[in-house]
Amino acid sequence: MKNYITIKKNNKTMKNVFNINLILAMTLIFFNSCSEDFLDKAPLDELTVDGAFNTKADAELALNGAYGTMVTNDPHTYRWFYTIVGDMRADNSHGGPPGTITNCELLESLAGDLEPGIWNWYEAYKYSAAANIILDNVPKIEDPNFSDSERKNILGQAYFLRAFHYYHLARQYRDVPLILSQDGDLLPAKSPEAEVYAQIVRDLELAESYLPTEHANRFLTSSRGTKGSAQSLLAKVYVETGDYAKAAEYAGKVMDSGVYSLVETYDHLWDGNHQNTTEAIFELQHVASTMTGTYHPAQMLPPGDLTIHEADKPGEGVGWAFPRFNVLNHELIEAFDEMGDSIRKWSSTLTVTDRSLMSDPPLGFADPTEPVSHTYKNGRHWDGFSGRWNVLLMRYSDIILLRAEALNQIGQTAEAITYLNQVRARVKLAPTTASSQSEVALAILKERRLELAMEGQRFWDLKRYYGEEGLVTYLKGLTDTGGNNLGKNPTSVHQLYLPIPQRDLDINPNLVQNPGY
Amino acid sequence: MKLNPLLSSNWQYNLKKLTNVVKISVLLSVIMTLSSFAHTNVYSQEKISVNVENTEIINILDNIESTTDLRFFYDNDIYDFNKKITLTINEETIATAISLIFENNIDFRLKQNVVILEKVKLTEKNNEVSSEEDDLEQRVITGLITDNFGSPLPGATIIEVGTNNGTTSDFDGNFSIALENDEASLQISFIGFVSQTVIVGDSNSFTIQLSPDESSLDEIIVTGYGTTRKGDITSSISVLDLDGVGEKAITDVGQMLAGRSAGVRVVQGSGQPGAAPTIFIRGLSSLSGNTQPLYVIDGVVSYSLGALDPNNIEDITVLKDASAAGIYGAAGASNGVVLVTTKKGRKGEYKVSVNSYAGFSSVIKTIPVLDNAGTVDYFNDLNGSGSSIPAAELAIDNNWQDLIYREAAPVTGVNAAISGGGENGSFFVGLGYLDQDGIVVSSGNKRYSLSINLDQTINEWLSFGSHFNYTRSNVKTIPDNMAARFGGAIQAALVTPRFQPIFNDDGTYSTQARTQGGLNNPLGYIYGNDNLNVINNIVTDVNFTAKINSDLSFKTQMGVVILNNHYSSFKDPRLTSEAKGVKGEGSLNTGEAVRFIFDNTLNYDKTFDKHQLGVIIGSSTSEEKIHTSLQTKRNFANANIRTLNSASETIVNSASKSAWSLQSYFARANYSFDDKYLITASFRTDGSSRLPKDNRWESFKTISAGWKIFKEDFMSDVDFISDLKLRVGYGETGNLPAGTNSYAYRLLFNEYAIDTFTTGPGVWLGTSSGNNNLEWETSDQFNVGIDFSAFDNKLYFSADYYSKKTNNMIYPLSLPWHTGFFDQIVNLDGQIENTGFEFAINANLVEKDDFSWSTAFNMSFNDNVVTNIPDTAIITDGWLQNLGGNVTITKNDLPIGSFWGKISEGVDPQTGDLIFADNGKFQFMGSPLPDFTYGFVNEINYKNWDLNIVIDGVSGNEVYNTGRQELEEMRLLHNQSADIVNRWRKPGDITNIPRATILDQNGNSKISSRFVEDGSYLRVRDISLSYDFKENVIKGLNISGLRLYANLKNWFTITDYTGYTPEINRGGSSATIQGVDYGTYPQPKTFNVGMNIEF
Repeated sequence: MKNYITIKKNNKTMKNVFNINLILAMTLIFFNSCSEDFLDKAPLDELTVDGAFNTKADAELALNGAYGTMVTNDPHTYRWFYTIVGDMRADNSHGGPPGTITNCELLESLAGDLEPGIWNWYEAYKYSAAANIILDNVPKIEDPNFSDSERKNILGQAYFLRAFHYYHLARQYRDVPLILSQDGDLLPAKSPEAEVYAQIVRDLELAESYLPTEHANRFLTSSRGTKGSAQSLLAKVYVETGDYAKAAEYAGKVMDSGVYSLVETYDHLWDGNHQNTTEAIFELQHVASTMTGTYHPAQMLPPGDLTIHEADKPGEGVGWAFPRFNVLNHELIEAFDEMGDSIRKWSSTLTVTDRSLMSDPPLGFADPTEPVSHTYKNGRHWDGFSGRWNVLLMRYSDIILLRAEALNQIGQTAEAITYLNQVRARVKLAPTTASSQSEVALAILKERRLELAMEGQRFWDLKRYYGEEGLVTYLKGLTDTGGNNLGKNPTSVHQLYLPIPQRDLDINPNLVQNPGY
Repeated sequence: MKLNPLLSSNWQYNLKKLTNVVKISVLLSVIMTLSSFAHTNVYSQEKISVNVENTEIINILDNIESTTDLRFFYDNDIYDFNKKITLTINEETIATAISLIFENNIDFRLKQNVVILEKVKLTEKNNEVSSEEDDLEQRVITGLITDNFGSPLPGATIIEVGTNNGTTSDFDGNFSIALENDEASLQISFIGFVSQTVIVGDSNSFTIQLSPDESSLDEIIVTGYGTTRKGDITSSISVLDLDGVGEKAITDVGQMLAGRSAGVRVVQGSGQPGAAPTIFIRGLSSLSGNTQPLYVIDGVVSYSLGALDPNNIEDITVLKDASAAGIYGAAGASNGVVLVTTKKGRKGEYKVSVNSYAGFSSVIKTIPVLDNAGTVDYFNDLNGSGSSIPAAELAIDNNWQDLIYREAAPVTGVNAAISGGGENGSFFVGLGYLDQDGIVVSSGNKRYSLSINLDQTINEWLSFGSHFNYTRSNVKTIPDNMAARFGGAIQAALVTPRFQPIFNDDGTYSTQARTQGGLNNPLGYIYGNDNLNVINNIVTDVNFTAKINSDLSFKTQMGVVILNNHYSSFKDPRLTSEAKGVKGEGSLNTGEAVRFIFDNTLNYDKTFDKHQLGVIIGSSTSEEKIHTSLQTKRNFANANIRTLNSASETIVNSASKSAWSLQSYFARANYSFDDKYLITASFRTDGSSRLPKDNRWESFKTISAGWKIFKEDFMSDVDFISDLKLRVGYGETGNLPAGTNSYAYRLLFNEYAIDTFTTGPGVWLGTSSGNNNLEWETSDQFNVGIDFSAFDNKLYFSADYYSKKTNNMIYPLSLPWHTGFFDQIVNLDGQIENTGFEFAINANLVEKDDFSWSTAFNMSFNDNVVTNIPDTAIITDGWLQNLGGNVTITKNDLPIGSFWGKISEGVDPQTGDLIFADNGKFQFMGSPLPDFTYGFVNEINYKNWDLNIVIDGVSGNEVYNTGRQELEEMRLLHNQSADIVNRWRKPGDITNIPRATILDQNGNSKISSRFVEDGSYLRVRDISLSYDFKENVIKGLNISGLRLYANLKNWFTITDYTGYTPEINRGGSSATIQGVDYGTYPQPKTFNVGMNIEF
């Protein structure tokens, strides 16, 4: 069909303009975005797991972060909650004056915000996740400058860290879910205790084979995983599982390595001027800053007036007042005196006579007759969140005494006595008079109490010595020398293990609460 | 003669549309009397060539239109325009061409470039020669048509009543018409204005002012990416009646919206000057995503209304249901869309207008607290005699509320606007200044605004427009919305004992020597942290519209939205002991978000016979980049130098940066048949960077239909009904996660020691797990509504029922801690359902020359319920530190964010403790969401007086009064409410206030229904009275308008709520924390006087 109209005036240009307009319009409508990846907007201020592991440096960054998370991100477990669980729950200390929440109630709280029983669970898993992403991703890195030994060093430390966190979980909660990859099942069931320990041993054996005996300097050797720290933890795991031969073997490996030795002056361990000593096997580093500092000393709270500080402590949960944790039992002081152990008593505690050594009367300090933990000594005080006080998570004398304990258990009592005396000699105590296997076992228990006071060990030492039923009987039989509520410690076997936080039970239907709760 | 193609084409366009609605054949046979013009018109000499075979006449005309400046104008009935002809015309004039095309059966007139086709009158045909002479003998009337502002109205239609004789006004609003009859009256009409009939009488010259017709069905309103006639709406859209609102002392856009639209709830959660209100349209429909409507300013999708000075707003349209909002698909369209059009210049007149006002605000009420004797008595009761306060101290009696609330906080505002336009363009420039002191000392806001709008016709097919809206606010805030012990000044003014001195001996503000917990006095909190937040808000765009042919046009728009803020604060070491201890602390936090938007739309509009079709297709691209920088330092060398360079200790030094993008394609078609049956459908597909690659794209469809019942034949006898329309619509919309990369497995930075004193960087897995399966949150909404007008639009009624369901709710669901994560962003199973009914009635009760009264009432009922979410989803919120934890819960079969706690059954007379129902089981304590809300606006004019009253209210909602919880806590050495003198003291006391106890083992002071109060209120939000000086008064002043006004805001409220104000919103726009009051900055009452002047 022929159908056109011509108009003389500028007809061609006009038509072209309209056509061009239409083409332009369609072009703008359908091809207006700049490029295909216009909708790809990677985070600009964060890394994502996909794409964060390409080089050796990336692996090192993740490893440093796995240690860093233990001091910077919600860190309670290895700052002071380990002493709540290990000392306050036993006979070394107690929580606050009468009328406040009791030791067990504190740990068994199922909901809320700040309870150690919840934090210890959450944090151990979070720290373990930091190790998992290394184990998930570092093997996949293709970097020609990343040597096999460097890769093994990083993986070995990640295995060590994961084992360390699961060791704490298994001791406190017994059967726990095993999360070995961050890509795995989000709602798993619990694994039996034996399986958890078997996994810990697997991780530690890999760590032992991957890791060097020493790092470049003493600082790194005590702050990073080494063959020695893996072996030390294996020794601790084996005493926990009752395999004393293996425990003695691994403690022996640590002692034979020549890397570690006892510091001459016991007080150097706690005076704040001698960190990362030859005695440190695994020492958590705090550098004075808002990011990596610690408020650890101030949380070893002395007794005080409850009501004054109740209101000004942020973080109070539902319905509980802020108690005083880790008020030393008078009985601990008596144990030092009974042993004639003035050196360690003076280093680990502040009693009425040497209260003047306190640098900074802590807030609300009310009762001058109560002994106070050493953490207030020698310039240690409330530094906000930025104190530089390291935490000794594993040290050499613990391993020596474990070797003694393990050897005594397998009948090598004489050799055990020599190691026990090594530790006593350092604090100018005469060799032990104990000779029979049972006497030596008790002597080692007493020695560990004083040597490792307020280091979160006592509860498990007692548990090994007395067994579960025996420990409950022992704790029930404690006399209340300081007029305090020691009787509020575990009174039944089920209380030796903490309840699983209710929150996780609510969300994960595959999880079963520990018996008795 | 100069041409004005845009004007003439608009004029033709409007009239063409009109033909479909108002079947007035009269209009279409308008006779141009300026026939003499035709002969001298350049267009009459234009040469036209046509060469067609078997082609419809209508197409020939269309083609002539599209290739020349000539525009045809005709009534379809006068000739068979679909007749096919074969024709060759070679360079002939239009006159010849028309006679050839129509074979001499059609006459024509030429006005400028417009060819008006009309039937040949038989008489004229018989007497062609004399026709011109007859015209000359007729009486000619001239006149000027203006709008209500006196601006000329070009293109108004003037018809001699009872004849086919008519004309239109020219560019300057002037017309002249030769009358056919001696005793004539003229009917003047213009779209959007009330038609007027004028009896000609003896006068030969008239000035006719038309007044706007607000309820006109022909009013063109803005919808998403286009416009529509009000009468053709098929979905739920509110057009706000802002008549005169902008000319008053309005400091915030929220004040313009409140009470004026059914289904739109405005919550002014704080009285802090500069605090933006939150706006909820048809309830809360998202758990963690956005709950606020999408704001579109002059077509540009913006963050908020923050860039707007209310004085520069022309129109606000609210798209309430999904069938209307669905064209915006994503980005919060689930919560409705607020479309704002700013003021433009008017062609033909230059105008300067000034609105200036001044006034005072003050606190509405104060809350009674214990006097010194009462406080001491309470302290002793609580703590034994250990708290005895020395008599010397008790001589001090500070009324802290008087000390923090200004008796009369001044506000002044000035807005000036210059606008105007020539033939091819118009402009509007608005300048504004607002200086508003808050009712709490030290707080206030200074706002500067600039608005520039330009429109320009570039040539006959291309036009250009640009908007620039800018505000700069300088906001000084005081710390509120929290407990006194955490720094909340409003609460501190209540719980600080009156015997506490203002200053310590060293000149710092006192902390509480006799009380607990490091509490500063309220003045210490207020003055101790000197702060200023400077916020720059820009929304600007440039757009071009190209006419491709008479049916098809293309618009491209480039917009930029910038939000920039700069917060600085300084804690002066001379003012508080806290700051003294750290030698001063200064912060400087800056942030900027820049959004770029590029929209392109192709618009097709065509009418043929009884069919009308409109199609829009388009695309939209947007990208936003956000960055912030946070710095805090301590240890200042000198307290007078507050810049951070003078401080030596770094406390915070941090930054963040993120970006997102959105790509969208959309299409919408609307079709109407016979102007009775309307249908609209749209489709939009959105791709967002905020979701994982595989789930990025989502499509949203809408469909809606309307039936204009009143146009049916069976309604033709019902004269009093001017509109009756049924609307039904269904639509889908979407919502995105709040974060820019929340789906990713993110690693966060931390540090660890690399030697004794140095740290090195590390990364750790963040507490939120990624989710590569994250999808869009979607909601769908069904709406059915009816519109009804009667008695010449004197009565208007509209009602809607809707049902809105949100699916795939995006929510950070708690993960078990053993996963190593705290939560994971997921699409939660289950729904949030909002169902509601809303209606609006407008009535012009009286319409007399010197007295009129119009009233508008709207009411909305909304029912919100959460259903089918997993039992393992723990959704609690509203953390109240020390007072019992989270106060709200979101769970199945309850409204979102319901209050959750123990039900108190009063005080046990034996123990003085509360008795809790069901052994203290936590249960539903009430909902913060109202059962219904309402607004009632009255406008009364008497002669020069104008009285405007806005009343609004909510009913059936609860407020959790945390402020009172702290005031009746009775376990700390703080001052308390005066009511606690009635507390339980000894066994046998019957009272509703429990005992004072430090340990409070029963939890009397913790979250319970004891602190849940009825939040219903009815409030007279605004009363305005103005006086308009008429022309004769102001003639000598060389101005064209003068109006004086006074208004009262928030002066009368009826409520049972015991706190400062029931309209509170601690949680802002968060869906799960509504209705929690915790020492929120109270809303003020205000008195203003002002004036409007026009030049």
